[in-house]
Amino acid sequence: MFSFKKEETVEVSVRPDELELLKERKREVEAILRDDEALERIIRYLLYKELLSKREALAKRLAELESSYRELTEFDVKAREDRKTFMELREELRKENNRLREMLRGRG
Amino acid sequence: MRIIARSKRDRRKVVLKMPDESFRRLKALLSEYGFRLDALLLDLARVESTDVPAVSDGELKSLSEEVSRLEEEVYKLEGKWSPLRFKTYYIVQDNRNLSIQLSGMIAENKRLRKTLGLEEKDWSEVEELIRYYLNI
Repeated sequence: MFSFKKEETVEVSVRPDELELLKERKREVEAILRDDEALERIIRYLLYKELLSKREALAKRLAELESSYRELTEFDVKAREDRKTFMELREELRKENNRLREMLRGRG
Repeated sequence: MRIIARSKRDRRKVVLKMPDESFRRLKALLSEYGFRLDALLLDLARVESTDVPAVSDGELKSLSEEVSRLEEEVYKLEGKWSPLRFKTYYIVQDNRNLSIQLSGMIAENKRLRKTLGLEEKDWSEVEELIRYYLNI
């Protein structure tokens, strides 16, 4: 962010390492700031590069999400089938164990 | 026009000078392209050459549209993924509870069959599935 201190001065805050960079490249930065045509061309180029890296990051994120979603969908189907199997088996075992207990009582 | 870059940590500063007219132009460009002054100054300091290729309106527009489309796809998929993960979690919890119940019932079945002198059933497949859910 920047703030207007005096009419003809704008201040920005930067990290110490960034200040060093600006100090080193002061003349080059001033030259660009004075050249309207170069400034706009560079800004557009920077924006283009930023969009390119954003596109790359988004495409990577999307591929990861698609893969996770596919795996999760497959796992969900399998878990639902297993639940059905478990419930059917529980019912079968309940009946069979009752029958076996009855048989044991009959023997006793 | 002066741009003063101050260090956040100490009192050091760098003063950049530019004509007032150029600064008005700079402000317009910052607003048009959505850049912040501090970030732009640092980007300009990192530019190795001012001889960068010109980017056309068409290139910027189509790339920007592609980024928006990808953002929308990511947003949509994230919106589908979270509720599915939530539902699956509860199904897995059901399966864990069923596994605990079934373990007890299978043990009882084995004991009853042994006592009654009946042949033991093969539970290996279902026991493997039970172990899977109990170890998740």
